[in-house]
Formats: sequence, structure tokens, C-alpha cells
Amino acid sequence: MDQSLLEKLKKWQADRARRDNLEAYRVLPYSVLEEIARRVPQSPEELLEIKGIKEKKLAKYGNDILLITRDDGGEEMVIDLDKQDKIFEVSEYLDLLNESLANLEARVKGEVSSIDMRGNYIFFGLKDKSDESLISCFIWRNDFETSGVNLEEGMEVMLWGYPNVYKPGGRLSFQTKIIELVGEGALKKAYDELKNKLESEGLFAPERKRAIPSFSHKIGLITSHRGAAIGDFTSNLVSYGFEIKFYDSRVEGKQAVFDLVKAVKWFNKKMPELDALVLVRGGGSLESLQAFNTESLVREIANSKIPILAGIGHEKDISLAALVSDKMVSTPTAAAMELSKSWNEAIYKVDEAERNLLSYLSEIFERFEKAKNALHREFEKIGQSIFYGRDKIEMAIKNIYSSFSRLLLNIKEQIRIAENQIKLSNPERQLRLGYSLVSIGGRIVRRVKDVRVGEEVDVKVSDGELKSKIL
Amino acid sequence: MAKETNLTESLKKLEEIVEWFEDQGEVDVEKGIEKVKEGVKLIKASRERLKKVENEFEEVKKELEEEVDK
Repeated sequence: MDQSLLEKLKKWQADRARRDNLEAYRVLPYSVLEEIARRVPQSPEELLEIKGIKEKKLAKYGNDILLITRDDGGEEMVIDLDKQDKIFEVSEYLDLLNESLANLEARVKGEVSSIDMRGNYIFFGLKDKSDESLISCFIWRNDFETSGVNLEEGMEVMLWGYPNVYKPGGRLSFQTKIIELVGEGALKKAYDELKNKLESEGLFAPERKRAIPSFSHKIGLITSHRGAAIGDFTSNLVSYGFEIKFYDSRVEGKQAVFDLVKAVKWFNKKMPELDALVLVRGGGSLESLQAFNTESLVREIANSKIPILAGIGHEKDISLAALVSDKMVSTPTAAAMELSKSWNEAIYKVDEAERNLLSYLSEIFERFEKAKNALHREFEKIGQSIFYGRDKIEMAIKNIYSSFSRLLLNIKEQIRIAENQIKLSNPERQLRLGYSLVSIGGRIVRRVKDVRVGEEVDVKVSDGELKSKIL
Repeated sequence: MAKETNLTESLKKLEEIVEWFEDQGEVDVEKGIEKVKEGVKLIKASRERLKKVENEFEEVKKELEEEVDK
């Protein structure tokens, strides 16, 4: 690879980017510069063979690039304008002319005339309103459709582009990149018409809308790196490990529609796994929000497989891009809040569940405690009854004892009485009183006939016995 | 995505557990404690995911933007 050529190309890329107010890679990606440095193309045809360079890029940068590569090839090709005696070939001169014309990029306002729709491009005229001045214009159908402005003869439009001479025909035409409407009135009318049209197609219907998933955290962010929206959004997003993939896009004016459409396409193609796309910008007039009211963007959003959250400010009319989005809020800050919501709610829900569970748990413990207390009380009762029981037994024993001893006393007394009675009735006691007891052969003699004469009887007196004979 | 599905799942399960308690007149102690245990696990896991983690910001590389048009 020719390193010095690559350096020259890089310098050119940076200069061109600055002049066109574009990022460098938008002019030509670095990989394309490398390919140019490798192949050193010497003609437009050779340049077209390089991947990444198509008609559009060729028309815009072809001359620039070829000047550098040819310059690199040999000193004799240098075009030096100071050399007044230099004689150009027609093609060479037109190349030089076109290179200079490309610098005359501008917005031009006028009335549309003589529209000529061809296959994938359109010719039309733009006439000055006050005199009859006319410029021929050219637009690719893609760009025409992206613009979303239907050309009608006599309507006032604003074109953004640059002049160019078509080499085979030799005519100058204005290479139109985008067509805008002129004036708030026309913008408002176009807005209303497009809104009605899309509405009748059901594009804004609630049932078309998908929910922005809870706990979305892989986010594709589409906005400009300039402007307050990006800061408002990122600084209001809670820190729960969001992965923000940022696509830098213009958001101001009609031209922004190219970037916005591309951004939605790009994310759907390259990062379909994203949870949501977020499209934000601050508020503005209908004119500055034109891109967001452009049919091509609205349809691109409607076709997005990734749900889209819009936080697009507006003064009066809600932008159609917001209306077609799956969810819309009114500011970039509100978009950040919307995404933070489910996370904040989760914190609250977890806390609440914890409180609930704790109270259920303490309820269970309370029941335990109650059961324990009840058991305690039962035990106490048993203890008490055991205590009382012992008393009773003691009492009973005492009672038994006392009644028993009373019984004994009684018995003793009765025995004593009986003894006395026995004593009193003792026959020997009678003897002492002077009675005597006569017995014969051990039998008591009660009657006279109990004895016969001559028989011996025993006479018992108080102090002994007398052997006596019956006479 | 797994992590987030879990968070959604965990919250759902937590709600179910709380509902279970609400539906019980007299809570079976053993089952109740089982449910509380499960709930505590879910709460712990959810809190883990809900920790503050720095957001990442990255500008995407659009070098291939030309091919997106096709």
C-alpha cells in the first residue's frame, strides 16, 4: 500500500469533512481510503470498482480523489490553474468544473416546474418566484422518497444540494439531495395531510404498539452528540448497568431524516438483540422538526422490530415519529425516567415483599409464642393441682390419723369399761363379799339336789378352798 | 437477558408468595416458614441485580453504513 498516498487521502478526508460539516467517516470510511491507496485508481471507472464507492460518492468526491491519485502517479497530471496557457480536454475540464461546483452546496428556494419522473431518478425545474430564472434539477428516487415531499408544479420548495455538469449531456443540473417545504403554513398543511393519511392506515393505532420491556437495559440511543438531549437523557437514567449504544445522528432540519432513517435501520440490522431504541431531541418548531414529520422516518419506525421509545419535544404538534413510536414521552428526560421506572418499581416491590414476609413470619412466631404461653399456663395448672393434691393427701392422712387415734381411744375406753364390767362381775369378787362358791367335781353347786349325802364338795371362799362333807 | 428474566420471574414469585399468605386464614407453620425461606432467597437475588451498576456508554461504529442501504 502507498502510505504517503494514504496520508494524503486522510488529509483530504479530514478537510472535506470539515468543509461539509460531516464526520470524517461519512465522507468516506477509512477502509475505502485504504483500498484506494492500494489500487491507486486513475479513472472514474476504476474508482467505481472499489467497494464503498457508488455513483453518489463518485459524483461528489471522484474528482478530488482522482486528482490525488493521479498526482501521486506522475507530476505531468497536475492541473495548475495559474498556468493560463494550459489547454484542457473537455472531460478534464468538466472534472475540474464539477470539483469546484461541488463546493457550491446550498439551499435554494423556488417554484417547481416541469416534473419528469424517470425510473429511479427525477428531473424537474426550479423557477424563481419573481423573475423567470430557472435551474434544472435532478434527484435520485431514493432521496425523493426519503424527502417525502410530493412534487407538484407551482409549489414552493427548498432544495438542498450542489450543482453539477452531466458530462455526456453537457447540461448543468442541481443535484438535489433533499426537498423541503417552505413556510410554516405549508409545513403545517403537509403535517396534517400526512398525519391523516397515516392515521387512516392505522399506523398510530394503540394495538400496533409493543410494550417497552420491563428492565430494558440494552438501549440503542439515537440523537445528536451536540445538543442538550443526549445529556438530559443519560444523566436522568438510573444506574442499573444500562448498556447504551449511541448512534450519532443529526436531528435538526430536513436533512436529519437521512441519519435518522439509517440509525433505525442500522440498529435493527446490527443489534436486533437490543431491548429498545430511544429516539430523543429537544423541542422545536415544525421547521426544525421536519425530519421527524417525514413519511420515510415514520414508516421506518413502524417497521422497526426493536420497540421504540420517543422523547421528542414539540411546541404544538406532536411529531409523527413520536405518534408512531411504541411509546412516546415529551422530553429526553422523561424518556430516561420511563426506562428507569421498572427498576425503581422493582426496588419498591422487593422492599414491600420483604415487609410482608417479615410480618407473616412474626405472625407465625406470635402464634408460637401464644402456644408456648398457653402450654406454660397448662403446666402451671397441673403444677398447682399437684400442689393442691399433696395438701389434700396430707389432710386426708391427717384426718385418717386423727380419726384413727380417736377410734383407738374409744376402743381403749370400751376395753376399760369392759374390764370394769368384767371385774365387777368376777365371781371371786362375790367371795370377798362373803359369798362362797361350792363346786363338786368342778361343777358349780346351784341346788340342793346337785349333791348327795356323803359327797365331798369344794367350798371356795375369798382366800382359799374348804373341803367339806355333806352330812 | 437471563438476568432480567430472573428479575421479572423473582418479582412474580415473590408476589405469589405474598398472595399465598394472604389467602391462608390460619397459616400452616411448617409451610409458612418454607415460603418465607423461599421469599428471602428471592429477595436476596433481586437485590443483587438491583445493585447500582455504572451505565456503559458507547458510540457505535457506523463504518459499514453504506451496506445498510442494500
